[in-house]
Amino acid sequence: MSAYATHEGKSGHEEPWMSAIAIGVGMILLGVIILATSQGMHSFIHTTEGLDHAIYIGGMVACALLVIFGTIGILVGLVNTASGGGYGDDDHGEDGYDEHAHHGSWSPIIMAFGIMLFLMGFIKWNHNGDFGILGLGLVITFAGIANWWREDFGNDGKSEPIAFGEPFGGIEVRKVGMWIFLMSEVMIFGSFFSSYLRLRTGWTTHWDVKCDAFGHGTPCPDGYVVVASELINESIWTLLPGAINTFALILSSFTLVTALSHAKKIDWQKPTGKLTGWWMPDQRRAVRNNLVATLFLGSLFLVLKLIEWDHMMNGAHPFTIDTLAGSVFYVTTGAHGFHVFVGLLVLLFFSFKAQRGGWSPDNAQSIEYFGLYWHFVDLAWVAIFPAFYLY
Amino acid sequence: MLGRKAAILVLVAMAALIAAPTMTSLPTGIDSMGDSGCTCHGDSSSATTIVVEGLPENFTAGQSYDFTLTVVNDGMALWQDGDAEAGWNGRSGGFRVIVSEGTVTGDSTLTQELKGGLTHTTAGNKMRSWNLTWTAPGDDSKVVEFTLLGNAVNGGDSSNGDQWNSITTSVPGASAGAVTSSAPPLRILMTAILLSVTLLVLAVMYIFYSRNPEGFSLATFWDYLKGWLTTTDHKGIGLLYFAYGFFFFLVGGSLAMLFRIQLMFPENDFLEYAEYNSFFTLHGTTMIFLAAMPMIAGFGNYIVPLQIGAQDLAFPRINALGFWFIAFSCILIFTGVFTGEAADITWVMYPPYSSLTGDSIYANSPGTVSFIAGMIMLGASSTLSGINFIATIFVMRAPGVTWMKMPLFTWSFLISMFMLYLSLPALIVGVLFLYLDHTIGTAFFAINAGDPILFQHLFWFFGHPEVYVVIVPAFGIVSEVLATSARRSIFGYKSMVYAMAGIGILGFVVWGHHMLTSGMDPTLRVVMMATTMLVAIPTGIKIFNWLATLWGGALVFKTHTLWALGFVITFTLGGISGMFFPVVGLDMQFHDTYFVVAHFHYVLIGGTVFGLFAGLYYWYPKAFGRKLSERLGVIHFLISFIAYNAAFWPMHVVGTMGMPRRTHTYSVESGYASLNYSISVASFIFGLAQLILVWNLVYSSKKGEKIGEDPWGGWSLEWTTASPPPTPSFAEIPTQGDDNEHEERGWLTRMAAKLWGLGMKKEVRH
Ligand code: HEM
Ligand SMILES: [Cu+2]
Repeated sequence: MSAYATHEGKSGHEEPWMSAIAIGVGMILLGVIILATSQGMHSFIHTTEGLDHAIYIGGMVACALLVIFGTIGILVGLVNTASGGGYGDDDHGEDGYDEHAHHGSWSPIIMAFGIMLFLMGFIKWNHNGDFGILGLGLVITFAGIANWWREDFGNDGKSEPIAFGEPFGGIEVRKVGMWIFLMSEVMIFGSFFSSYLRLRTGWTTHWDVKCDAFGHGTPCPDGYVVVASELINESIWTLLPGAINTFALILSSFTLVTALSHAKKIDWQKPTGKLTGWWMPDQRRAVRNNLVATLFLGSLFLVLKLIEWDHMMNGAHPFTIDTLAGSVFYVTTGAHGFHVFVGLLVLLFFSFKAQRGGWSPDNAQSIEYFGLYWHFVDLAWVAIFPAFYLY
Repeated sequence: MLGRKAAILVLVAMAALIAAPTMTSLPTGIDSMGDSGCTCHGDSSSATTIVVEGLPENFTAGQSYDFTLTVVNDGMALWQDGDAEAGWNGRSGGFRVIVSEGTVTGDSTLTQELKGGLTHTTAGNKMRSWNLTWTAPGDDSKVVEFTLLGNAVNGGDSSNGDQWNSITTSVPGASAGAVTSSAPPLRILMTAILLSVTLLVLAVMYIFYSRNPEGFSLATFWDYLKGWLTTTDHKGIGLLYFAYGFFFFLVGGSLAMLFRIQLMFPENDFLEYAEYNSFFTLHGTTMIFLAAMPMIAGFGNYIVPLQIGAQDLAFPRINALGFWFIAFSCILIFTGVFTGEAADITWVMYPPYSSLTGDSIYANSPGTVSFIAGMIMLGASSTLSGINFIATIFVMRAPGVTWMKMPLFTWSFLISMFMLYLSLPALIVGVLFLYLDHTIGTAFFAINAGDPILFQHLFWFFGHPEVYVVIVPAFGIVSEVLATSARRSIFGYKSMVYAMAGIGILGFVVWGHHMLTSGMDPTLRVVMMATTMLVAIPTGIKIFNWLATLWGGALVFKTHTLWALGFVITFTLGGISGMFFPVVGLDMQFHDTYFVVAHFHYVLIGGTVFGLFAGLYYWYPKAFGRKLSERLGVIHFLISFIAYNAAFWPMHVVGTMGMPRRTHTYSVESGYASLNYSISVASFIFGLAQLILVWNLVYSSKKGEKIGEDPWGGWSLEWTTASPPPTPSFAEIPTQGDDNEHEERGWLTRMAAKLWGLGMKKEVRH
């Protein structure tokens, strides 16, 4: 970790977690400012039909995301402060068979409890979902995650579990775990896809009839179901968010890999280009900036996604979730969005860690493993986009 | 100091949030999102009051009552002081009414029905008082609950400044008797949970205390408890899993005995039909997901790392997370029992019944929805275990434990985890759809608009592999136990592995055999029939291998041997009854009769449970350093085996006579009575016999015969470490020298040897 010695030395002492809290609060304030600005703009611009509404919804989503990120930042700060500050005290990552590993962890039980409450919150006890329980569940879950992060924060890569025995000796165990996890993800999206195709290809429905749903050309037969892609393909403006998103995700895969390659460099040198030199003045900031850029692109994805959803739900031809076509579309793309969101949470953690100079060539493989997930989410989108938006 | 600063900053941020404007109010009405008083319609405020006039004290059945709903808010400033030029849009109020019984209607231009409630229309958005009519239900013994939401709107573009409030009131029917105020389900649930947690903690405290009464203090107790709550050690988690599963095995058993009492006599009314329905629902779900799966996971956690010479699983914390998911899921699954409307949608949860929203009290009760939520948690739990076990077995085998020298239990576990892992996503997605149908109003399985059969496909794509997930580990256990008891290596080790793998692969292409009567494409039915029948081949190979192992060995009769032998007999019978169903024509008759019930109890109890018991008697000494009492064990086995067959064999007969499953009772004329009576009696005996095991577990943990590392003469690595094993489980990574198959020859010679030369393999150990 030599490259970071100074920075770490500084932050290892007094009030080490103040910065997490400060960043968190900053994010929340930024969110509120964005919200206020977008609402203001919304009431002044009355240009194109959709644009002011897009700004309005976009501002709201951006604010919501920032508030969530900020809250987590604050939670991380508080959890770490409460548990005595600096990191590195129990830094075993996933290394199960390390000698010191058996000191237990509170994170699993806290997280599981939080998720139970969260799921409970949706249930209509006496006709109502209970938002109190739902929120409490979320906070407890995030506290569990924050604690998990605390345990992992100081992971310096020295205890990376390595496979032994035959025939996989020498492979990093966490990498194997990630690939196995992706297997399950493939099946998850496979289930969404096969459910969708079963309907979309007209196996059990009449969704595949070719006609013009909006009355410009061939009229549609009775009972014809409008699917999402017809709405999205209506004009370039409705297709635009999805199209931008595709590039945003692909670009974010690139920034993530850039972050990884910079974190891995043993003798890092400042890039010579003017722009790149400004973007990556030292190794810590090279890693951090690229991670933050990934975080930003992922967030952009979600903001655009919700602008698009909003337009579909409340536009001229409302496409709502209480129809089968709407359910399949919103839930599948929503599940994908949820994966992006989970990725953002990890990126947030990585960015915090980068801000504190926590990455070094020894532990940068964590970025790589997360990268596998992130590229998968990217890939899933590359499949969803044509199937749901263009087909 | 720091804490204070942080707190102040947090408060500032919160204040900024609250000050920020929120979403616009909707002239389109308040839909079910508003049931909870959604903040997107402005702020909840006590400045708004809701006044209802005209509802009766008591209602008469079928009568209509006119009433007015008024939103009063005198203090509210209108947007731009009500100046339409300046942007005031004239909207002034909105409402939503939900009744538990009867219907509420109003002027159709001003009001509309929206997602199970009555609300305003765009025109009705411009007033604060509405005249409505309530038509009472036909049954005046009920108490009708009204939930009324009112929103005072200021007419601005956003909901900023709008203030809403809600009230609830109830009107009893003329013959409802005095209104007993009932506590809300959630509160009852929380009380029940708190109570049981307290009891549990007290019980654990007692155990801890009784171990060492002198050294007891709250601090040491807390350390002890904390150890269990935060453990990431595979042995600790394994024991937690097993204890949890065993507890629910008893719970599920008790439920079964309750509805066996109901079925004992024709036209019995010991249980109401609704109770009966939720009891068998909970019985099935509990037994598969909360009993069998955790017990299996318990063995996997405890034994697999020991068998492959690993110090722990690959991801200990994720392993713990998996356990705690399953631990909390039971609360969701059993919620309904405490709140009064337990889930009654069967363990297969078919929509549209399970997705009914609206009037059906049971299908849309909080109990059902939380049952579904519990299934999601179970899915998540198993996914986490899957990652762990697959990774562990792939990459953490000690030197010498090569693929074809891996103990069969580990092999079976790997295959079972693979099946579980790859099929679970379908269940998770299906159940998620169901959950969303209930909670956010999607329409996946809605009656006219949805696609209920989709759920059946998703469920059974998981469901069939799932039944193999619970049997394959039992195959592994039985292979270990029989080989050790016969004091030889297992016959046909490699064919055992290939057979299990074959079952694992075939398991993914047979799910349609559960849906032969669902109106599926006839071609597909024939395909599913063929693939299902193929399963018999690998299964048969396994059975013959076990028999050959016995033949070539010198059998020692221990309790675990008895259970394993019992397994071979009953599982074979269950497999044979299974071969009747895939024949499409037969299944048309057999589907949903007791014949199916007989089949799956033969494979699940006679297979999985017997296998697990064999494993329990076999590995208990490893975990506790003491043997279970053999004498109690033999009694337990004999009573269970006889009572079990007496209970489930006659089900084949009532099934072929035509008795449908999942029905609450049967008529006297049907002729099912005498068989059902004997089934019930035998099943009580079977249930009670399990108490012997409970006693044996408790008793032997203190008084059992002490043992060393290897009480049975087993050959695999778990027998090379101390009993109980230390933490980490091996002082240093061991090397496995012994080989399961002692000769290396070409496959052709080996096949030939297996086919004709049973005697050649007679290689008695020791
Ligand atoms: C040769 C092996 C087997 C074959 C051919 C087979 C075939 C079948 C078929 C076709 C059905 C559907 C019957 C119907 O609903 O009409 C069925 C039901 C069932 N089987 Fe098997 N089976 C076999 C082994 C097993 C095993 C090993 C287990 C579990 C350990 C199992 C558990 C079940 C269960 C739980 C059901 C009932 C599902 C429900 O609730 O509807 N079966 N089996
Ligand atoms: Cu099946």
